[in-house]
Amino acid sequence: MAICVPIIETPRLILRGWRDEDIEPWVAMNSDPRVMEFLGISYSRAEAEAKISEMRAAFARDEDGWWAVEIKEGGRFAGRVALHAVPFKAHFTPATELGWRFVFEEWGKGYATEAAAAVINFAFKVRNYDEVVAITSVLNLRSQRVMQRLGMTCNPADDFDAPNFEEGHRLRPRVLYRLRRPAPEVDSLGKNRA
Amino acid sequence: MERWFPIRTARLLLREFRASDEFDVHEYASDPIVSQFDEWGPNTPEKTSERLARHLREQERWPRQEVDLAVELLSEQKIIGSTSVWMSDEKNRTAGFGYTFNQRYWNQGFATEATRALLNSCFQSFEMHRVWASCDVRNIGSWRVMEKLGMRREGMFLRDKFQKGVWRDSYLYAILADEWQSACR
Repeated sequence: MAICVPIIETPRLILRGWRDEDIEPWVAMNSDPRVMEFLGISYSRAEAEAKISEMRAAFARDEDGWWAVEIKEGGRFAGRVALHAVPFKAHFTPATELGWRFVFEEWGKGYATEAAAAVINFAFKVRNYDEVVAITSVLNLRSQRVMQRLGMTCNPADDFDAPNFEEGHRLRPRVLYRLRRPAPEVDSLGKNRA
Repeated sequence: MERWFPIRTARLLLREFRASDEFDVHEYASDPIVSQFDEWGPNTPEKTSERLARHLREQERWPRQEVDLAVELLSEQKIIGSTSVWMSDEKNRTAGFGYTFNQRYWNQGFATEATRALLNSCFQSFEMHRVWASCDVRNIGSWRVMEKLGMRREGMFLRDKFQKGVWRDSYLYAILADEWQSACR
């Protein structure tokens, strides 16, 4: 099977397909409680490995999917970014979701913002989507901060409950951030917003 | 009281508005991201003109209850935001303040630098006892500025502001003169 993962380069990162050497750091990342605090899931080794096979197959099947993120300098695995259809029904679906998860040691360096910005560019310029969304727990301020840095906006009217958490679970309330494809034209004051 | 501005900081100048600031002001005032958590905005060019004209008219009066200052980035001689401070309760020597910055200049400490200078004036030049500010709970960048200034989160107000079509929650932050003194030490 030929899997065509679109490779995306940013100043400090490479977004690429999954390699066998990503398995160990991927398993480690997914068992780090600091990384998983707001995800409310944990993977066993077997599940994490199965997830890699799933992610490898996704680009071939759906066009979109999950990139492994590598730091150019030193070639370390930094995490993953994703672009995929929201996998459940809600007031804003169908929608294309942007996501990220990074190794704790790499937090605070702007990698999530840098990688996600590149995926946004891909979503609008290559895939021609009109809008991308990002979803997180109301409690996950760090992630919301990245969304705000990316220029995404939220409206409390878009808040919803995650269907995969029971009533009363701390991670059930979700915020939705949206980003519309920027209009290509320059506005009346000559400011190019694209 | 003497005019306590302009104020110069390491990178910024807080000064009164000029008619020639309109282009720079509109750049951030027309950006929907910049005002997404505020009651105002995004501005049409007419709205920006009108607001600026009002600032220019108010600047002719002194003393006044509210002072709006443009924030000029010295290295670019460009207006990158604005701050506002007002006497909200004269008897209790309490003032409120607010700020707005051009998105392109976020995450570089400019808001903290400008508002720190503003708080300094509040406590040193006009001897305030308490200074407060509030923002939407979702406006993380904004309340992080207040925390960097050493302000305390005094409370969360549930659905107290109707903005952009919905009721929103907001945080109130404040700082007292003696807290400011020890924060500055």
